[in-house]
Amino acid sequence: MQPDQVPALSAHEREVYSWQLTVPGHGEAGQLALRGASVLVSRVGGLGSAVALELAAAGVGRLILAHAGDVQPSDLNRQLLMTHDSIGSPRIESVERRLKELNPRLETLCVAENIQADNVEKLVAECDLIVDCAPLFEERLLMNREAVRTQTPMVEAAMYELQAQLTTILPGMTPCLACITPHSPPAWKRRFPVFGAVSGSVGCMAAMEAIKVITGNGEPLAGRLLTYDLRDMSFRNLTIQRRPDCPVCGTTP
Amino acid sequence: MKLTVEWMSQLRVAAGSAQQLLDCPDGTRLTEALEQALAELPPDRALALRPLLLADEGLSSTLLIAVDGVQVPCGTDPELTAGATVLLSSPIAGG
Repeated sequence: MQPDQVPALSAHEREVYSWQLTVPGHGEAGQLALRGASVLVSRVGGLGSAVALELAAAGVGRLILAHAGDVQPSDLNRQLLMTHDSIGSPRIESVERRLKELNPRLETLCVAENIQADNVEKLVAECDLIVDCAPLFEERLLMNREAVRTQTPMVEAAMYELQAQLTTILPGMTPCLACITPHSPPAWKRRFPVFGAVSGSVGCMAAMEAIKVITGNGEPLAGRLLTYDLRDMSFRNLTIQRRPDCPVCGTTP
Repeated sequence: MKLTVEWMSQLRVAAGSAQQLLDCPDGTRLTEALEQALAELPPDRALALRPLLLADEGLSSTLLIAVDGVQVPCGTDPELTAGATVLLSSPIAGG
C-alpha cells in the first residue's frame, strides 16, 4: 500500500496512543509505521512475553508468535502471558488470548511450534523484523542465518541469573549472531537460573529496540551490545565487531 | 601493571565474583592475564571456570571478550595496557 493510501489513525487509536503520539520524533507517522509492521517473536516465554505485550500495547499491527508446548507451573515465575488457569493448555493459546485482551485490533499469526529448519523460512518471510527470545542456540542461529539471508533486522535479547544482554542486528551493517556466537556453546543448558523481573527488563528494552528500528526514531544498539547485571545495577555498552570469517555474514568465510 | 577482569553470565557465577584485580608484568597478553586470573582463584572456582573459558583450540570461540569496551576479534591475543579492563561473557539466551 502506498503511504498516501494508508488509512489515518482512527479517533479510538488516537486516544489509545495519546501518551506516545506526543513523544518527540514519533507522532502519527511513527504510529502508522508501527501499525503497518509485522514482527516475529520467537519464543513467547519469559522474555518474549514482555516483548509481545509491549509491542501489542505500542500498536504494532501484526505479531507472528511461535512457541510450542503447554503451560507448565514452572513457566509462571516469568512468562507473563501465561496464567495459572491455563496450566496444561497450549501456551500459544494463552499468549493470543492475553494479547487480544489488551489490543483487540492486533492481528496475530500464532504457531504452536518453535523455530526449526522446516518453518524458519516461512515465518521469517512473514515479518519485517524478528525479536529473538529463544532459549536454544540451534533456534537462535537458524533465525540468524535466515535474517541475514533475507536482510531482516533482528533484535537479540538474552538473560541469565540477574544479568541480561541486548543488541540489534542490521544484516550487512552490524555483526550478526554468529559473529558473536558462531556455534551452540556446549555448556549452555535449556533451564537456567533467572528472575521474571530480569526477563521483563530486557524484554521491554528489546521491544523498544524493535520500535526504534520500525519507526526510525532513536538510535538502536547497532554494532553495540548492552550487558548489565541487576545485582549491582552495572550497565555496559560494548562495541562489537563483524568477523570477516563469520560463517553466516563474513566476507571471507 | 594493574588489570581488571570482569566476569559476566555463567563465568560470573563460576568465578564467584564479578571482578578480579590482577597485578601483571608489563606486556602481558590477554591469554596470559586469563591464565593468571585462573591461577589466583580458589582451586574449586578455577575448576568450574576453566571449561567455560577454554576449548581444544585455546580460548573458546563462543566467548564474548572485550578490552576497554571494545570486542576483541576471535583468535587474537592482544597485548594489554596498564589499567585495562577485560570483560568476558559466555553466551546466554532467552527462555
